[in-house]
Order: sequence, then C-alpha cells, then structure tokens
Amino acid sequence: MLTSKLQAMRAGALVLAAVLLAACLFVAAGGDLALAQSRHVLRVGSGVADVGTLDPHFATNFGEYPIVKAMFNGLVDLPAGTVDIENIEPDLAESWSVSEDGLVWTFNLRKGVQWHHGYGEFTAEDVVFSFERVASPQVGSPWRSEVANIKEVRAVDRYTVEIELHAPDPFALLRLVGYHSGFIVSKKAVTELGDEHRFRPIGTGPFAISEYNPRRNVVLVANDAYYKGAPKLAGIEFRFMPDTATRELALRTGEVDTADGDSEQIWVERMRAQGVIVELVGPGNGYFIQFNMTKPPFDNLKVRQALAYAVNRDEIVAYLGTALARPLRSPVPAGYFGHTTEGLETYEYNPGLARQLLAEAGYPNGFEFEIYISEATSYLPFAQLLQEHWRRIGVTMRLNVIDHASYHARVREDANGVIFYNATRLPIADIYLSQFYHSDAIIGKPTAITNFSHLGDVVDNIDALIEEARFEMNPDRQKELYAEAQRRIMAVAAAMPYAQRYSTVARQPYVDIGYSMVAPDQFDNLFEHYVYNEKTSINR
Amino acid sequence: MRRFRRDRMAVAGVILVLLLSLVAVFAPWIAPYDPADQHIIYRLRGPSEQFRLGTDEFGRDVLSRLIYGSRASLVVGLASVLLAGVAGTVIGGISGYFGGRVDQIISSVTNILMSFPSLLLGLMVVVALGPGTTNVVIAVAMSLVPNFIRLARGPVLALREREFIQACRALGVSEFRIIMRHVIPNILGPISVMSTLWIATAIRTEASLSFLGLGVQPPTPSWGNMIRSGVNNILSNPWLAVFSGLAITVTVLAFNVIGDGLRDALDPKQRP
Repeated sequence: MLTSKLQAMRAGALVLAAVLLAACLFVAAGGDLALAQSRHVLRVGSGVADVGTLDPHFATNFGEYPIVKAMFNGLVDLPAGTVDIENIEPDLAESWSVSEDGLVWTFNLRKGVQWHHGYGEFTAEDVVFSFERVASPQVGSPWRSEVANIKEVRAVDRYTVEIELHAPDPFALLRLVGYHSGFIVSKKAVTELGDEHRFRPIGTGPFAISEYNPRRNVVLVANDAYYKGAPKLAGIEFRFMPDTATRELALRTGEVDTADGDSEQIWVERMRAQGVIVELVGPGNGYFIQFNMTKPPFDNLKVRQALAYAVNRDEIVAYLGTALARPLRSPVPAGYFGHTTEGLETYEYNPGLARQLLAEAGYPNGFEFEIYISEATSYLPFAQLLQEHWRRIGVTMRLNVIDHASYHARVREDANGVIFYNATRLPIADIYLSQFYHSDAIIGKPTAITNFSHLGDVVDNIDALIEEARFEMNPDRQKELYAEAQRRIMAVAAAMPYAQRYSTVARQPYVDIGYSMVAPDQFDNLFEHYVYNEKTSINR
Repeated sequence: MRRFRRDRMAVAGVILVLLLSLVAVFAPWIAPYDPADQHIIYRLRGPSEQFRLGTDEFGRDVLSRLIYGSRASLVVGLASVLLAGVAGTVIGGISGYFGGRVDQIISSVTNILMSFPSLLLGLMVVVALGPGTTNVVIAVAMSLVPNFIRLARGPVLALREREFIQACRALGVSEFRIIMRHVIPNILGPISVMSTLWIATAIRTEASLSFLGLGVQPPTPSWGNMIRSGVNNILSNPWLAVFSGLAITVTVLAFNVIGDGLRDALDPKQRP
C-alpha cells in the first residue's frame, strides 16, 4: 500500500518535472526565461474517477468539460465566467454579420491561428468539417440535436464561413459558443489521428494535451503561440479524485490548487474556515416533482394542488443549505433565459388550504400511495422530505427504494404517480420546456424525453407556445410566450418546482482565475467548473 | 435453572433484553418526539438538552428514533428466528425421523444453502421479494432455516433408535403423535439455546440489510438505516453512527450472553 503510494508519488513527481522541464525549454526557445521561472503548473482536483474521451464533440461527462474547454475554442464565446447570452464575444471568428431574413450568418475568421503540435493553420475548412462532423449520424456525436437547425456550412474563402439555417433562431449565436457542439476541431488532426484523437485531441486553445494516464490524470502544457497571448501558467494537471474527502484533504494540505467542491453547506463552511476560497457556479440544478396526470388520484387537479400547497420550500432549502440553494417557484430554473415567477401560481406553503382542497377532492382523511425512488443522494432525501410534508396533511407516501438506474427505467414506464427529478440544462427556457413539458417528450412515445406528467395529451397542451417561442426573434415577445407557458404549467399543477441548487468550486487564495466571477450571488457563472484560460495564474 | 441464575452475565443479559422489550412496547410513551418529525433547522446537531442524543440529517430526534428502532430489531430478530425455528425444526425432524430418500434430498438442499454466507442469502431473498419489514423477516428466516434443519436432524436421528420410541411404535401410536409428543420435546433444549444466539445473528443481519438500504424503509427507523445515515454524515455529526452502532452492539451482546448462559446451564458435561 505504502510502497505503491510512494511509487505513484514518485511517478507523479517525475511527470511533473518532465512537464516543467518541457515547458521551460519551450519557453526558453522563445527567449522568455523570466516568464518561465515564474510560471507554475496548476493542479486541479477533478471530481471524477476518469474521463471517457477528450474529444470535444463527445465529451459529456462532468469532468471532461473543463479539460476540453482549456484546449479548444468556438467561433464565438461567452464572456469568461458568465452565461451572459447578450454579450457573446468573438473567438475564432473576429466578426460576423447576419442576413436580413436571419437565415445566413457570415463569420470572418481570425488569421494565423495555429493548431497545437504542428497541425498547421486554422482555416474555414476546419469550421465546415467540425459542423458536418457533429451533424453526421455516422459520427454519432451526442450533440447532434444542437445543430439540427443548421442547413449548410460553406467555406466562402480561406477565412470566411457562411452558416445557413433552416429557420431563424434567436439563439443561433449561443448555439455556436465554445460548448459541446460549438467547439472547432482540426480536419487534418481528426482525419490523421482517427481513434487516437479521443485522448490526443488537437485544439487551438491556451493549453495543449501532453499526456493522459487513465484513472490518474490529464496533463496539459501551455500553448505559447496562443492568439490571445501566452498563458501565465506553465500547464495544468487535472488529477482524478472522485472522493470528496480526498479532495478536501488535498485542498487542506495544498496538494491541489483548485478542486470541484461538494454541494453541502457544512462542507462549504468547513473549507472557508480553512482559508480556502469556495465559489458557487451555475447555471443551477432545478429540483421538482411532476405529477403523472393519467394516474388517479393525481388526475384530480385539487389533489395535485393540495400536495403542492403542502410542500414547504423553506425547509427543503434549509436542508440543502441556504448558501447553496434557493427556493424554485417556476418550471424553468432562475437564471435561465425566459424564467419568470410573475403571474404564476407558485403554491406557497399552506397546509390549511391543502387539507381543505383534499377534503373538496373527496379525501378528507388523506390517502395512501406508493412510489419507486432512487437511492441516490440527489433523490432519496427529497422524497423523505416531501413524505414528511405530506404526512402532515394526512397523505401517506410509501417509498420503495431501488437503485438509480432501475428508478430511471421505472419512471419511464408510468410506474410512479409522483416523479422526483432534478436537472441542469443549457440556460434557456426552450430546453427545459421542450424536454419536460412538450407533448413529444411524453414518456412511452418514440420521441420521449422526460415529460412524466403527460401534459400535452391530458389536461392542457402548450406545444404551440414552446414552438412559437423557439423561433421568435423579438426577445420581449419571446419572454412573454415563455412566461405564458410557465403560467399554464403551474395553473394545472403538472409539476411542483421546489428548489435550485448550485455547484461549488474551491481554490487556494493564491490562485487568480483570470477573470472575476460575475456577481457570484447571482449564480450565473458558467457550467459547474472553473474555466481555465491564458490569464489564469498562480501568485506566490 | 439455578445454575443459570448464578451466571451473573446471563442474568444481566436477560435484564437488558427485558428492558429493551419494555422500551419497544412502550415506545410511544417513552420517546420524546415522533420519530418521523423533521426539525430541519436543527439538522445534524450533537447531543443537547432539547435533543438528548442529537439529530440526524432531517433534524429528527436520534433518541426517539433509537427507541422506535428497537422495534424493528426485536420484531425482525424474534419473528425471523421463530419462523426459521418452527420451519427448520419440522423439516429437520422429518428428515431425521424418516431418513432414506427424504433425508438425502433435504440434507443436500441444506448443504447447498449452508454454503452461502447468511447475509448473502438474505440479500438474495430481499432482492427477489423487494425491500420492506415483512420481506426482511422472511429473508432473515430463510438465511437461518438451514441451521435449524441441521440442528434438529441430528438428535432426531439418534432418538429414532431409542427404546421408548420403538415402544411407542410397537404400541401403534401414530407417527405424528410420536413426533409431536416424544421427539420434539426432547430436542427443545439445544434448539432454545441456539435460538437465543441466532436472534443476535438475525438482528445483525437486519441491520446489515437496512444499512444497504434493503431493509426497513424510510421513514420507519431501524438501527441499520440509522447507521447508514450516520456514515453518510460522519464528518458533520459523528454521534449518529456511534449511538446506533452502540445500540446494536449492546443488544447483540445481551442475546449472546443469554445464549451462552443457557448452554452452560443445560449442558451437564460443561459443568466447571
């Protein structure tokens, strides 16, 4: 045990030394020795056991995104550390214009951008190749649906690209940012490397792949030719540490510089007391229940409303920790474009009214029902909280605790009258509404996603609203349509949203992430991790 | 009996078990809170005046949950041993008394079952039947049945050849009556000793199943599911795991001590 640990440490030290040496030599060649001496390798405690791929068009796992983001760029990007969709910035494209009808977007590309490891210059051909790759059913990227509205991508010349859409899309630019389907890969590298590209991806970003050691780490080195300037770090080492306690100890002993946090208030308090900086990142996980409106007694509006009024959001938020969670009062989480609580029936805690509604529905003494629930910590405790809230109005919910995968299978077979769910999505109302409330998404259909309530086939149908809003170019009108959709979902009590929880990231005080976390209390920082760029530095 | 009374440890065990039974029976009157009542603002607190043994992750009173949890442990412990004892003794008795083919089949099935660790056997049964208190009783009973079959079969095999049984048979007493009136009473001694010891095993198995989330279902407290919640929150409130673990240890110890005492008292050969 001890020897294997020692060996691992020795190997790790060797790797680090090699990386440092390589980085030094690299920089020395450029004649900037002073910079080389002050540059450090950032050590990141990543909250996953391993990565499955580092190819940006396939990376889906929680730990893969920050690694990919440090190596790749999109045509455009969100301002660092935000999901400010109104201020999208140039990245690989220097400027762009859109045709009158909103269908053709023309991008002028940055000249002289070099691919990592000598794969040549970035050109329009790479852009065409990238979008065709994501769209290709043979390639099988999980982000295919995100480019479904793209009709054609054309290389006008070496540095100009035209993207033609099927229909005008108010979020066309957002769908092109460096995230999932928006990353641009090298045609030459993907073609030549083939399968090897999964773990030796070639990007244009501030850091380039150096090595990947399964279940141990991923090491990136600085790309000093980066077009936004040479990185202030010599490199980044992402160490896989799936265990929270391990990451906590590593932060305490200074073994890592930044780490994925634990979404527990007590953890946040403990780490802050140790002098570690803990920050919250969004866009935030929405927690809600849906009622299966085809299953009695949940087909009765008064029963659904009674159960909704009996849910005490404040207690759930207290359970999650007031520093990490907020009450959620709308089917679309706060901070997502289109979210509103205005004019919504939000079912504020009112056990008296709940009892009265139950009596009116014909259940003066309450009723009993049984559901399946996942044993996962993001499911079971919430069922236990609501079980208690409903017990107070005489409703008994019996729990049948099963493993997580079985739970997901069972709820898709209409087994539950009440479905517990939580989800993080791209922060626009369209995605949440389409996946959870459009009739196409109803479970059991070939196009099923996650509409467990059967809204759309029973009670009410908001498909037209969702579809109209999707292509509405006037943002005010679009917000109105989304607000109407949210009002109608709540009016029929198809769902009861109750909390929104944010992820945490932690860093040592000497780490300068390179940008300010915009309005940290607003929780609108992007995507559950720190994003590391050329400005990220270690100052000690 | 006198010998048993002189065994101080065993007497202490009996007193403990009696106390525990009283606690289980009178739980609603003893417990300061309803075991399912959540006081979220006081979650994960250590022992205090308001909550004598602290609170769990939902702010439920740990003392009240321990008191109610004794019901799950005792009910599962006693019911499963009773079930396994009756079934095992009958099957083992038949096997030993009739011998031949019947004995061969029963013995080989028992041997197969005995080759599984009892927790694994319990796990398989619960997975097949689904979690819940009744199913846990059945699962634990299933894991104990082979032991009882073994235990009953041996002495019956020996008894069958004894003169008084032969005499009964010669007098034309029915087989059923022979088993009921003459065979079973003669093997009750060893069975009661082992039952006491196996109650302890049953309580441990129940706790393990509940710890794995397969036993008593929330919000009903059991010591096993309390330990699980304690382990999940061990860095925040270590008391949770300590108190529920202590309850299991003390109870298991009490039954073991009684079992040992009974054996010493009933077995004349082991007289010191």
